[in-house]
Amino acid sequence: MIHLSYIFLLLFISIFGELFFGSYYIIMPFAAVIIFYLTMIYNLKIGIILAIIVGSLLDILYGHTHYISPITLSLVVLFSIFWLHKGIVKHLHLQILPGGTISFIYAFPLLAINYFLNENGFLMFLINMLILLLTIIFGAVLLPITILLLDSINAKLKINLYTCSKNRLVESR
Amino acid sequence: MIKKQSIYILIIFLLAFTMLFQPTRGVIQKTAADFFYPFFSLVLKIKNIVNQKVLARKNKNILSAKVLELQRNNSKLSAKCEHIEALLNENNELRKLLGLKPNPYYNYIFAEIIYRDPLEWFNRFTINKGETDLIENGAVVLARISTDYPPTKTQFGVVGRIDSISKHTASVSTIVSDQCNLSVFIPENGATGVLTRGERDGSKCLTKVSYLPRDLIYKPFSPVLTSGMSSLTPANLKVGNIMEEKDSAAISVYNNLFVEAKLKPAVDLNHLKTVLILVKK
Repeated sequence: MIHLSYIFLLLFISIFGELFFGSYYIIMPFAAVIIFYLTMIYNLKIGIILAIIVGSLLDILYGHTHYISPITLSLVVLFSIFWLHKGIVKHLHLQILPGGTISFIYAFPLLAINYFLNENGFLMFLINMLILLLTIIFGAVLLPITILLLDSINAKLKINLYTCSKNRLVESR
Repeated sequence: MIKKQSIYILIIFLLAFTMLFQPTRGVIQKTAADFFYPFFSLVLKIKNIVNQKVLARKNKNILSAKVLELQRNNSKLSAKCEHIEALLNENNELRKLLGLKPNPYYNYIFAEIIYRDPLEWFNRFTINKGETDLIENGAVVLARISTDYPPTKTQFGVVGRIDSISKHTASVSTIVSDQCNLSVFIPENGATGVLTRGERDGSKCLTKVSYLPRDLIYKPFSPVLTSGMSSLTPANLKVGNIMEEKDSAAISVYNNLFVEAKLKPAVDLNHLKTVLILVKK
């Protein structure tokens, strides 16, 4: 039960945060960061289910006609599994790298599709590039902070830690 | 193990089906929008309180002078409204005597934007009024026209239409969006057309008026108004002006059948905060 409420709360915060910052013309990749974190502490299947739920809810609330967010968030889940196997999870400052990468995976398809459907011109291309760059920076900063914050909460709630996810992988082998 | 795996796959398929199937998607949209509404209305309340506090920090003399000026304007507007009400009643009496349909009355509902999509900034936004405020689908949404227009006369221009409603929120498709089709009229030459879809180039956005008659002359900067063909849309609301011919043709003949004109929206869609919704009484 504690896991369900924990996941629900995190998903709620991620969707609310994304909608809130979206109103100020900022793509803050809260959803991608939270999905990445949850996949790392749980597993691929739960990650995919959560990615579909969060992605669809974001698209539905924004009123998108193209449902791309569940797909981009699922790609984030796949990247998190790759990072779990090949990356370093112990050092917090190194999490800037997956933070930037998941932001790119999440935002690039959305911006590209929107550019080809609703926008044109070189100026719009530059604006989109700037938005993408900002999103990557936000993601790179947000992921280490999220890990630090949630790991300290998880330790008290006796939920798996992100920084120990590699140990669990070794144990399961 | 296999059983557990198949349960996961089934859940994923069920989720995908629920999200892609139109009626269930509508229900989810309404439920999710209403779920998030209290949190966004709380954000709006905090914003308004902060604005009030900032205003209260101004000099008392300046504030009291502003209050007095507002009171004067308010009494002027109330007197004007009463006069217009009397004229409206008289007009309806005369229409009744001539056997014409009475003009529809509209309620003006004030709403604030609660969230907006950064990707479709000019196409869509969500407001804090819904079914409980008696808003209906297709209702016209207005906003104050930007300051580059004569400030002596306060004008309102069309922003878009209500696209979908939940209990407490509504989604608005702007005139730039391809989901907002509106019948429009050009008073200069009497042409009528339909707003189809728009596009964005930098900070500018434009929309297209299609199905205009071929044999008429269209001048740049001609005002475009609503035609009032739909009972949900009153006539003579300002939509925009035909664009000046610069880089690309603002007026073009489509397949030798009809004219398509590019239109600059009257309202600055980039800086919207509050809107008015027109609902038929």
